[in-house]
Amino acid sequence: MIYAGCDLGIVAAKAVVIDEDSFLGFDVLPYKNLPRHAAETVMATTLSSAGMDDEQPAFCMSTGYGRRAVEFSDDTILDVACLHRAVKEINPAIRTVIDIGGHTLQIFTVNKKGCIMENVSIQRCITGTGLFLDVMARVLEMPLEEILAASLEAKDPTPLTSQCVVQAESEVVSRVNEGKDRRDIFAGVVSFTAIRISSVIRKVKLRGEVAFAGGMAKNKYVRRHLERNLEVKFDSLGGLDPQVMSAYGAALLARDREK
Amino acid sequence: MITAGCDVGSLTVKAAVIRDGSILGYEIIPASADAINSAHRVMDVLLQRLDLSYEDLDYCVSTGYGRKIIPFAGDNLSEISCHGRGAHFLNPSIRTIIDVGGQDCKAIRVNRKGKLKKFLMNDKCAAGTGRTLELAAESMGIDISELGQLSEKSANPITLSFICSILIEIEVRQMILEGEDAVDIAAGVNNLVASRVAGLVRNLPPKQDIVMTGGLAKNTGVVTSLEEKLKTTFVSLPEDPQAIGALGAALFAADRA
Repeated sequence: MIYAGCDLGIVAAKAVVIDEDSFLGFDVLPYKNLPRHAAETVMATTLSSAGMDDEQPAFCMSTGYGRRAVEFSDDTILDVACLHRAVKEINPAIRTVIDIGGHTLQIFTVNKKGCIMENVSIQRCITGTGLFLDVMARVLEMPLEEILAASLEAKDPTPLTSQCVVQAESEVVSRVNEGKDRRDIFAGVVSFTAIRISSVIRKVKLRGEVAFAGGMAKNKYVRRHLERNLEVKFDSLGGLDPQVMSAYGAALLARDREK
Repeated sequence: MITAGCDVGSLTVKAAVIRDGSILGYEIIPASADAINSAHRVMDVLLQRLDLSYEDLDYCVSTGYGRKIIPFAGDNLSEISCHGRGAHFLNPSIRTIIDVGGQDCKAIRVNRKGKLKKFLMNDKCAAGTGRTLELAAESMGIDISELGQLSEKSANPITLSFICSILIEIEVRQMILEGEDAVDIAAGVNNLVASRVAGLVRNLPPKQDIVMTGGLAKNTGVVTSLEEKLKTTFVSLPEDPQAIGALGAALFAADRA
């Protein structure tokens, strides 16, 4: 029997398929316009990559902002529950989870008994998230990956001061009009993002091993900034793609439910 | 005596000219990233229309974001003072001005003489400002000026999940493509903006008579929704609400000339 988890975020749909005792496959599908379609597609490609084209999951759990729009799921559950379940499986020594996705920025800690101790979730502001970087890259009219890599060459990073993405857009436009180097501008954006994330993380007392989940965890520049600022080393998550941690937890919960 | 006011905002730039306490004319055009260039452009257009030159002006005061760098202004004042002065001049019963601009939102109290008494400003978060409507309109493939009228036909405004302008842009686009009615989406966006503004205004608190200025004053959907939330009716102004800041600046210029 196979089980599936689908995490429908605002910029990407993620799916994970597992069976009774192993991880079978996953996929990440960035999308722009059609959330329902993205969820269906990512589930189909995940099943396909696991060689399971003809088998339907016994149970599918959905999570994320669009969890109720995942029409083929059997139930929905909050992403914190999924992340919590995933780290229990990956490494029980993990007791702090930082999750930064397209628009999410949250951190929670659990005690040794697995009870959630603190939970800080930024609900209404995308500063410090994937979309914040996307918007800034859009203003600079460059693909994100390209400007991120180029920003490493920055000689004189331009400080960013606006706390709000809309105001930061205007600020970046002003800097461009002043003739500042795009690499310097984006280096300032990345640094600001890391500082903003750090200030949210510091609201919580870090416990045990620290997991960094979500798409932002794959951004090695931000990751390095954070490890330095917070003086931590993030858990390797057993090699799991951090962007699918919620979907993995959802799949595990789907399996738990059926047993 | 002829004086001018120039209000350099983030989305639009405005100029007004008065002579001996009467309005000669005003102009409103989109702003570019270059504030000085924008200010010159609007002033050139207005002066040409009024058949005047810069030399005919006895004094000019600038206001708005770009006010400090305008070369032809003799002085600059905050948009809060200028809005208050301009609105009160046009309608002396006004005691509260709600000014929702491109990226911020202000609630202003003036006394019976038009002098600033108190103000509150939300300039840390652009949720519930012109930018929210601008991005929503873009996602809907319409002009921001159409949002008000479009929403009037709605019987079931959509409740949006987010407040950040960027997330609204995405949510609106996805809703349109999933087949939701544009009329209900427009109403939902207007209600969202009105909620944010109402929250700020209630903290002032407001005092009658209340007027709305700034770009959003032209959006009938937002105005109606805001009146409902504040349980009041706004007074209107005999001139374009977007020009109030420039008008107030021109009046301050007359004091200084």
